[in-house]
Amino acid sequence: MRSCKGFAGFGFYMAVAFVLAWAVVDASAQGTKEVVVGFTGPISGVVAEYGQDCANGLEMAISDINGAGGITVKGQKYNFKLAKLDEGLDPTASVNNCRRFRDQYKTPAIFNPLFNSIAAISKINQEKGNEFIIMAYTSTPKAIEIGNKMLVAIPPPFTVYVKSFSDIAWEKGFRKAAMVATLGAYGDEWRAAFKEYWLKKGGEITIDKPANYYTETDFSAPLTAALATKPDVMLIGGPSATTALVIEQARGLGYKGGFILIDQAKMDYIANILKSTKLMYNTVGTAPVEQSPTEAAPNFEKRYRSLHKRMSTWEVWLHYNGMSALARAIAAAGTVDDVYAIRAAFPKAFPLLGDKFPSAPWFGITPGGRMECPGSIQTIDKDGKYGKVKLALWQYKTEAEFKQAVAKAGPISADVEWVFFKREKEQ
Amino acid sequence: MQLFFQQIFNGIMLGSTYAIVALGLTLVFGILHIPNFAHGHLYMLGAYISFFLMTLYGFGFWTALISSMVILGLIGMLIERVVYRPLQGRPHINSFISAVGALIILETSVIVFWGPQGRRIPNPYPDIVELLGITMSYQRLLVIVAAIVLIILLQLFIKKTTPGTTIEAVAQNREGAMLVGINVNWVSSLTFAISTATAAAAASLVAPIFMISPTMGALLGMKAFVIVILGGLGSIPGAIVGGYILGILEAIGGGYLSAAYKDVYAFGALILILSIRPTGLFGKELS
Repeated sequence: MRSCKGFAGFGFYMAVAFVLAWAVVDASAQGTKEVVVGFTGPISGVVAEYGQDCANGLEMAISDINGAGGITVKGQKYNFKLAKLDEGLDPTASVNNCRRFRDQYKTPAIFNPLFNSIAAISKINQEKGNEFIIMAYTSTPKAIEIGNKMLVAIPPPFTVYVKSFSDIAWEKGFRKAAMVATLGAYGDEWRAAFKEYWLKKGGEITIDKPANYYTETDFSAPLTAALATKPDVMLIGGPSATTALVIEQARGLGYKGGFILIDQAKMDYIANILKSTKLMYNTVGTAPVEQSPTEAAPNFEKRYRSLHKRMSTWEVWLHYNGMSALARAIAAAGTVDDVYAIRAAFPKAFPLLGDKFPSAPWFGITPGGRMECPGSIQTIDKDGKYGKVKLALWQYKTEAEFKQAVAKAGPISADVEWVFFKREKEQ
Repeated sequence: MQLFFQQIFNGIMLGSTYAIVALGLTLVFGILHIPNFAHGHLYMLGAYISFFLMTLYGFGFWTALISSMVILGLIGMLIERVVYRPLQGRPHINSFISAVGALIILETSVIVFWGPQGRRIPNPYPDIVELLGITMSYQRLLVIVAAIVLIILLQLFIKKTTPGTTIEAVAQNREGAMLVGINVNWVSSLTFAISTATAAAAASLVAPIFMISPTMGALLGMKAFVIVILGGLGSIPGAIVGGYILGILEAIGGGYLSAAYKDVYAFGALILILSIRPTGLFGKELS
């Protein structure tokens, strides 16, 4: 009986082996191979939504690339596949995840959306024979200042926002600024950069009362303290959801002044939580994705909503572009595993224009490795109405270069204003 | 001075939720000796149930709140039956681990089914009133008043009704209660139901002011434990006073020192009080 059972088991395994072998033959007959791209980020816990938005953007890009037939490298067709691992908010987990991606799939590139993790994995991505490209979703200039040769940063540097937001607030006549922005490495940098720029302009910082936007929902204590200093404008922001609460609670405490939103907080998301822009009067921040002036934008947003049953965010859009640029770089490099060649081919991936890509046009990549995504700026006036979207280009040294780029911006469907910020250093 | 009173008001509002949540926890902890670490997550579930009743089925704020209390009460009974009762008489560590399991299941299920994004219950009373220089919204005032009403009702229930007194009897002496014919299992279920229903009430009350998310219960659950220990294990007045103290402490600390250390105040107070009074503020001396 026993041996009989054993024989049946053997037969079963043979059958499985046969099916598998046949499947492999079948796949190679079709001739398409797979390139696996990694994503490690917070898919659970307090910032799960943020991490999932990033991954969703990558998945959408991959399904579009594969849907269009994938890429061809030296006559061989390749499709992309995304491998995802959760890291919570733990940089150690991030490092482990990257090692797993490399062991299992030999991933040429890995996406990560948290600066703390990026700093950690940029210590291991240049180990001989095991190199990979970090696709870093972080706006802090430090990501580039690290000087990692295998790192590509996706969003614009937040210094663009510090300057443009401050300038707009200054023009509105605000002089006394209070800071109630989020804690954490990113928030600290933002507050320091804002303080420096605001003081240089001749403004005054009345108080600095940071709060933890990741774990708190009640901000009445720091807000009460900040409002007691009678500011004209408040620098606030962290994750959008809790930033919305800060705005509501500040207005609830009788605050009538303006808000400067640090770029992590997104206007449309906040307006969605607060049900309107009524409480958000006199605010300057990053423009809502929906107001992106490209042809591809409305359709992209519609697809995303029907797919995920929630509104999209900049995380989705920029990861979509980031993944597309990576695919183009791999195709241009003519190799799926020589990561140095892929990294070197990145300039050939651009431009990403608005006919196919939802975000405003990306013209190239800086020598330091930051993709040239324009900063999108929007204001809400004293009556709670949106103004005109401003697109800030920060990658050029001269106004002539800037004007040339604008001329090549391709189809822009909405009325926008282009703004020039002189490039000072790699950031 | 106005600033000071504003902060005190902020603190009392915050303390009201802490007090209700801690009250539910102290009932279970003090009476059944179950360290229900999933309490904060049940609070979260209560908020979600209110949210769905209001947005999907068009319930009003109050009907949603009451329904959520009833549903959470039933879920509480179920959890007691499935997660904790089989471990009765086993070492504490067993129920502790079950509790951690329960909380992970609760949090992940909510993320899987309803997504990680924060959601908002529409505020039924969004208007603001200014009283003696203190700005307050009606919803915040409502939380304070409702907390007091809830605390009084619960106190009356335990002291004046027969089911309530059986709870107290079991708390005082489990074996004695069994001897006089009290069904201890039934009392356990009842206690759990009350505990989770009050958590649902607290969550539904503050949800329109703050927002709901799958992780909203984790830190609150920890703080509720701090309050329960701070007030004295199983002491109802201890939980209430502890809740308000913690709320005010956080508001004053956050306003005058720095909100960066908000959680330090809570846990710092815990260590300080325990080092002075190891049984907590209202705890009985161990014999």
